[in-house]
Amino acid sequence: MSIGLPAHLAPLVVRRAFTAAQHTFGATLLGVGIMSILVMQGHHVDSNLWIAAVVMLPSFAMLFIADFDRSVLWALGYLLLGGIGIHVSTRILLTDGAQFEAGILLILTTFSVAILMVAGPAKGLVGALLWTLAGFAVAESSRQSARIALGLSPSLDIQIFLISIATLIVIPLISHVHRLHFTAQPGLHRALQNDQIAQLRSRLESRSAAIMHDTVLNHLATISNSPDGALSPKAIAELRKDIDTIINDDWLTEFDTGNISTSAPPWQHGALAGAIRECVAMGLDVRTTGDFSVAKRLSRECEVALSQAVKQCLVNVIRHAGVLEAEVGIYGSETEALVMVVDHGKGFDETETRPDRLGLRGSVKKRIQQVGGSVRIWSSPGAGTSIMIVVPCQATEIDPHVVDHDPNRSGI
Amino acid sequence: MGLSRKSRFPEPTRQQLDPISALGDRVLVLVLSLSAFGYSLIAAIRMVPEVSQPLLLVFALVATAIASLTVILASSQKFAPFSKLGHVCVHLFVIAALILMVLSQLGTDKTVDADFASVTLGMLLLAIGPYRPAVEISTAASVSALLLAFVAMVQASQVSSKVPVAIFALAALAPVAALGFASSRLSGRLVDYLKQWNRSLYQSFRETSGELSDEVVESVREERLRILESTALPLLHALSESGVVGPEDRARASAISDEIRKVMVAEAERTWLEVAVRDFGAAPERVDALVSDPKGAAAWMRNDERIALRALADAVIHDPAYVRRSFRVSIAVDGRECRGTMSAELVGAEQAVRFQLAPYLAVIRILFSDVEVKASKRALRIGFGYVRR
Repeated sequence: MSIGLPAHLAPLVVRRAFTAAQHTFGATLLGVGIMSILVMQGHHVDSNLWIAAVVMLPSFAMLFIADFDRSVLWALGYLLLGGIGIHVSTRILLTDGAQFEAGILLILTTFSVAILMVAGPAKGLVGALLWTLAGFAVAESSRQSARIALGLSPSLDIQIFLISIATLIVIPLISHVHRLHFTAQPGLHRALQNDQIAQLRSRLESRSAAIMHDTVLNHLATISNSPDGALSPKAIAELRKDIDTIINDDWLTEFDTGNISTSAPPWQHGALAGAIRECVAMGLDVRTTGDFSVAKRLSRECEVALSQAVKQCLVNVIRHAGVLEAEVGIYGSETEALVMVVDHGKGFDETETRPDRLGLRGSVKKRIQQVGGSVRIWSSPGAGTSIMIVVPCQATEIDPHVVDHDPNRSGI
Repeated sequence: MGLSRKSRFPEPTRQQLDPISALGDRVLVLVLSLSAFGYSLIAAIRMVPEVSQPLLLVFALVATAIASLTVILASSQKFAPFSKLGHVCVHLFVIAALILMVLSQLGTDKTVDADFASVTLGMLLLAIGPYRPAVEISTAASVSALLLAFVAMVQASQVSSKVPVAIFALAALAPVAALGFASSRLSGRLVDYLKQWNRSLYQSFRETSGELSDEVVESVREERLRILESTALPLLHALSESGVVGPEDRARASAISDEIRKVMVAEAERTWLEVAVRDFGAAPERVDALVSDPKGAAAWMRNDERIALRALADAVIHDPAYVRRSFRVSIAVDGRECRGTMSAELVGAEQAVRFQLAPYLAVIRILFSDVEVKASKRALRIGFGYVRR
């Protein structure tokens, strides 16, 4: 569902769509009329009926132009060419095709109805109705003048008259707006706007929760588990850094790019490499595999979310796995980047994880889901843990650095 | 409703994209459907002198009436959305009517009647335009036009006339083809315009959201700092200054950690529906007393479902006849199937369903499956289904 057209715009849009429908209606009838003449020509080879078809071709072409470029000029051109066409074809058909009786009348009716469907550009309802009346006037005057020229008495084609009336009724009806539209549409617009704000708020709350988990809760956990006595200088520095981050006005919106040497090869730049370096600095032995140049195809938002999620996975290894070794592999497809974080530690049963353990839930899963990615975890007690993170990325570009790079021989 | 994601409707229609505007099409549908039947009635009366089997003519009229009725019912808000089956039935009934009419004149007919069916079907197709996809309408119209042309050729071969048989065929197919293609173009154009409108609307919303985002960021940041300043920050500050941890610090850190975790877990488990209901101001008591969604299934709704439900809830809660604190929403989950129920006390709920809530219910019926609306003098109950994605 879309949010729908506002009540003031709906009639205008529907009338424009109906104009296109009228042109299609007219073009189909012109086509059928011309085909009918050609069929009659086939049955009456010596006649000049084909001329009646040829004189309608310019109006047929003009209708396509008027449909493609809605202007008064083309609409008037269609009326002019159509009027001439109907006059000439009426004279030819009523003289050369008299033996086909009803067939001739049918063709003349289709041509007249096609001219009725001129549907020139009009901003208001009255304008749209006037174009139909103009079409009727041109079609009838052309037909009647041809009859008079042939010495026949003018006669009203009841079908053309009824179709004109029907068109004049349908035009206002099709742009009718239900009165409830005026009250309900603003309600939907308001709901959309409120929903967007709510979504934005929810994203920010999740992001802040993940940051709080990675900083404040981590520090609180470290403090509650630390022995009495002095904290290490490194822990104090980390604590001060994180307090500054939280107090900083931009902590919810800015992305931490990490302090990464720009002299490193291109694939070693960026937040993901920085996150792995930080964990290496914490004492974790991280083996990297795969193609780290994939990270270059990630959007900034994805890259930051991925690096923070990978960091949380590695921090979990340090804290809970009982081993100090892990492997990070990154692989790319046309539209996705896949990161595997694997350890051979003690593993865990995800269903038995307490609901207030927010690491995997908030800092990994929710973070990745917010950038359109997904997370899968395979773990069982005693069998280690494998976490697969998939995030969307841009399509593959052929980069000579990537082709030359052998990631298995390059550590971060 | 987001345009960035793949549309849920592979071939969208105006009714699906803009159910509220489609409500306005009802008058046209009624006029065209009744005119179609009226036209066939006049045609039948004119055929009477040639009829050898009057009963078959009556059946033909009944078939036309059913076709018209199908369009009227299938396009109504109550049976929304207009189904493909309904569309096919319209074609079948009109073609059946034509065949019955031809059979009713077997051996006695002097005219070819296929054009009657063609005009009738053409008018009904024009009425269907806002409700079915463009490709489906033009394909079905083409098939029916060929069938009608075939019947006309068969009938024309039995009638003595100087007019070539092919002309009868063209006369038979012209109205249904012209009106069918016109209806198809109408459908396609309406959908295109709606998509264009949505693109510009979402663009303007994005711009507005950009302006609002700073306010939201600030509000979330302040909320977080308020929690931290009264709990963790004083302790962390003190420890970063002293650099020494004592037993009291450890106990306090553990207590603060538990407190923050509780807040974060509650926040993580809260769905948009609970937040929305709270924001409506409908819940002076605890939110979970109004929203029963133990599995957080509200989070599994699509954007458009979420927005439609939010708009309906907003309309119900802000209706002057709404009885305070009576709003309830529950969502039950069975595998991937989710079943929601929204209820409220609303004075004159029967009227509300027919009038002020009708546009919202039209949207709900398009987006959700198995929508059930029960309204009595004072109570409103709306059931809806959706699938977990």
